[in-house]
Amino acid sequence: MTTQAAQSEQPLLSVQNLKIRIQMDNGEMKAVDGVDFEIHKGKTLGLVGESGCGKSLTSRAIISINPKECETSGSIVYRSDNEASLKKLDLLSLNPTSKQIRSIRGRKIAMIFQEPMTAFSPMYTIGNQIMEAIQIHRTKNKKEAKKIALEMLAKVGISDQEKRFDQYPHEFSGGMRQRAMISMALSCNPEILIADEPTTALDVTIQAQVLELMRSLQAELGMAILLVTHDLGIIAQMCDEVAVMYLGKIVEQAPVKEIFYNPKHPYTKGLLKSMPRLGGDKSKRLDSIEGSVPMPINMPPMCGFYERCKDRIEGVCNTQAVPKTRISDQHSVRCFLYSEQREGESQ
Amino acid sequence: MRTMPVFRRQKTEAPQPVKIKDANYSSQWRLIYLRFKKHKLARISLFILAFLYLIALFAQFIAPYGLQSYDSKYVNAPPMGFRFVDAAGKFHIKPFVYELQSTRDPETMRKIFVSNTEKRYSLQFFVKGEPYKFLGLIPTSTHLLGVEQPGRIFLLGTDGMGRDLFSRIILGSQISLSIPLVGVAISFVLGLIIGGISGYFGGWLDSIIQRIIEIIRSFPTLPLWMALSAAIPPRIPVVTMYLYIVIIFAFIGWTDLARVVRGKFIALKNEDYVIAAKIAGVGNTKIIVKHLLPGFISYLVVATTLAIPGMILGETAMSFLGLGIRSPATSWGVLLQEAQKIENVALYPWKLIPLGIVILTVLTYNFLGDGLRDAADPYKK
Amino acid sequence: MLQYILKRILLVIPVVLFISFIVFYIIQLPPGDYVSNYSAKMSAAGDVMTPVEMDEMRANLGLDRPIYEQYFVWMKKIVTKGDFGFSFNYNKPVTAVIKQYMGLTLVVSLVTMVFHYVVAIPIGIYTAVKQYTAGDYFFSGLSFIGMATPNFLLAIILMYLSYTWFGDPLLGLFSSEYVNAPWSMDKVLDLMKHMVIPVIVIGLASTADLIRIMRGQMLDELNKPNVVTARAKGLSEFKILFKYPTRAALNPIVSTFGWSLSSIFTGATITAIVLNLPLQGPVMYNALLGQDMYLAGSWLLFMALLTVLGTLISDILLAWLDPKIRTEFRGN
Repeated sequence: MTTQAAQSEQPLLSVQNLKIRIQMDNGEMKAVDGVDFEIHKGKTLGLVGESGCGKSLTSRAIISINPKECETSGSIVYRSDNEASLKKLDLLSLNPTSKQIRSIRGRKIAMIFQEPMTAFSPMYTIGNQIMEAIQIHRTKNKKEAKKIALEMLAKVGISDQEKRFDQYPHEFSGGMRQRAMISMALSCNPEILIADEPTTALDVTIQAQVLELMRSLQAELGMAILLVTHDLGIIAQMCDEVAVMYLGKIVEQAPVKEIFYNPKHPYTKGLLKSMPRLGGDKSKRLDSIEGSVPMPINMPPMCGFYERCKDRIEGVCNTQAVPKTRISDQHSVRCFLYSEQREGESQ
Repeated sequence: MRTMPVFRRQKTEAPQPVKIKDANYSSQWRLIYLRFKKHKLARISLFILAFLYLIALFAQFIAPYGLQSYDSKYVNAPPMGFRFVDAAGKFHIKPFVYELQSTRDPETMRKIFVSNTEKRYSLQFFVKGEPYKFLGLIPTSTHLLGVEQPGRIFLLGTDGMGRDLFSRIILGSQISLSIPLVGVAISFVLGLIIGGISGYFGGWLDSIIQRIIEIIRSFPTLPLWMALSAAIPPRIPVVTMYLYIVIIFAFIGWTDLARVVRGKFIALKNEDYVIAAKIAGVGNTKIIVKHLLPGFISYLVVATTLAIPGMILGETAMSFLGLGIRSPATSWGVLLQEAQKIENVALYPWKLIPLGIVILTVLTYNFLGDGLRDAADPYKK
Repeated sequence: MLQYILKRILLVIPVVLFISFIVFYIIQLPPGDYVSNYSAKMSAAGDVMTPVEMDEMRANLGLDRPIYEQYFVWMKKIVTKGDFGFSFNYNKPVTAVIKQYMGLTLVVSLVTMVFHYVVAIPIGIYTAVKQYTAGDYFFSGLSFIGMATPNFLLAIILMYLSYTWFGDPLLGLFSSEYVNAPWSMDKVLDLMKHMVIPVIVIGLASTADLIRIMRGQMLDELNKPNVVTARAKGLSEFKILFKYPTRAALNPIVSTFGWSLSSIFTGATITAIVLNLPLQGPVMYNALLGQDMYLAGSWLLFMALLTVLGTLISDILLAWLDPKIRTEFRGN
């Protein structure tokens, strides 16, 4: 399998023990609490979870664009495979306003956002905003930059580019805007594309088009994608590997088939059950996970899913931090149901 | 908002799970109250304002002297604080003041005041003084503060006619603090009715009202105030004068509120729940009172509060120029007239004290309005 | 676009006409008229006017006719001849009186206008970017106090300070030796020196206000996703700040242009009275008190016109600056 071959390579990006804390009036919120994952060349990693689980913060931490209030620790090592100067670099060690991180943002690691309307400034033309990235990273020459921008617009399937180039975001439809956003992100041939809920704000048909576009561009340009979403359907279509996030932690991580056919964590199972299925029994109600996500403020060491879990073990799950358990080479889970070291029981 | 869920939550909701539960079940007003409580400056301001209005309410009782009581012996006397320790270093349990004696400065030949340490007058509470009506009802002559006869106490000095500034500031606060309130109350009612009609019914009525508002707003406020105030006939009773001024302020002030009301009406009119009520056959009045008003009354309170400082400053300016409140009535602006001459400020700086009070009042109203706005609309930071 | 501007200008005309009528009505309101004022003045000087003389004088000045007739005569002259009537106090045509004071009034107002933008916008940006720092608290506190201080009294305080520090209260706009002197470099310098206090005083309230507005707008804009997008593109913080939030925050500021213009002109009125500046303010004040109705009326009309024009300019600028409105015109 190709996945096997890819895994053996050095990852493009490896995130280790990423923690993001936010100081609040009534304590410290552990928004992201010890996240590890790797992104490989040409592959797509899906980061899935409910809103508020820290997936957006995690993705933004990679290029240090979180608000000042977020205290970030851990390491995010980036290995460029074609540039010697960027051989091995811990992105977190860089000052978020430094030139070095800025030379990576947009050029090596680009990002697209959920709301293409607000992600573009209404004050400038689409062309102006696309050209900006090109002019920082690729060429100072305005004519050349415009040429590249027009090519990119064509590549994402926007016709009549010359005219579109001079239009403002409000003159674009939602799907068109997201296409423009993708063309902007890909205009400097990044090695990694971070897509933060790229299709959430779009209609279903447009959603499919945009996803298809991302896939074909990935095949053409060979970049890796980190896809942040709450939608398992999108994960199934797009990803090679999936990391399920809950309350600031990755609770399960596996290749996409494993997640769908052999889920381990009760939360993952719950998520899958709450997905509508074609040909399923329509008279039956969809399962839902009861309760809501608690706020991770001043949480004692315990499983964050404890309150909502059907299979919880009292005295174990709510008394200690959950370690990561390897199910197989590529499948890991944070749950005491699969852990050999249940301290609570052995005592 | 969606893009950064964790971060936004911190700002918009009370983070403790328990509190969130509370918030879910609280009424709109309770929510506003909870948020307002968090705004420290606004809370302090509310206390200061309450204190100021309380003083104004009992002004005649608190002020040692009446509005027109003067003593030509004590023209432009400086403030005298009460003391506990006398010139000989002896401590007295009862605070006292020394008698003021006017002499001439040997160098500048200007009249100055020195304390006569021979004559000591103790501070007294509930002294008999000029008769007045307590709260305008009960005739009495008891004042909160005073000194032994024949001594005199000028806590904040006197003016060019030998009138006690402290008493006059307190008595003037009755007018200075109430004009904006009454003015704003009238604008509130006018704005609510006219803006409501304009916004709810729309159509040609709306167009006409909008044109009228536009025209009134085209007048720069101050010159219009000046022009209208100049039209107040001289030598009219204080009450009439007061009414004239209040009406002038309200006449100009209501347009802002009407615009707020109209905007909110238009926005809310098309909300699903209002349309649902309409389809269900609920009458106009009931829709307005039950569904529309609660939706924006908090905004209106905020807009009203924020309109008050402008009125205070306007009244002060008009009275200062002699176009507003005139003698025999007094307001802070009238008191500041004496500060118009730079020599007065240079020689008798205490004449600027009313300015400090004006600034304090306007500041507290601004803070209060800010606090209310944040409380009423937490999402708009 | 041109069509839009023309339409807006045409809409102004009825508004101005209506305003002119209200103005005329208002200046009629005070009891008595110029003649009764004049006769009171004369009798104080020992020259008692008989009722017949007074009526004659009224007939001469056209004051015996009904209000609406007087209004139409006034309006007709304005429209046909540009004649705004006669100032009784100055014994000169109103236009001559206004012309005499207009130059300096414009200079002081425009300098104040520039001052208030130049000071307020950078401070607004600074306090938003450095929200909740000592600098923010300092400037925000200052702007709150600025908003709460009646500017005429600030004038007195500044005059007093200038008097105690420099031995010169800087009254008026010129030192006595320059008042009637022809324009020279020294006179200009003298004027600039004397303009410091008036400009600060007149501009204070609107500057403080603008700081608050700019700060609020910037805080809104700084939290918008397009700033994050710009950052993700690799732009420097400096460039992001000026290209995105600042540019967007300036839009609503532009819409307050008309308001600022008239507030600065009115602010100048009281300040000019207190500081005894040779500007329109004191002239207007005396005209109102002395029932010099054509002068007062013309001046009020002018002020209202200024507000209307200011709003018009704001609207046009806004239409021109906001891509959403601009593209609508392009589409048509």
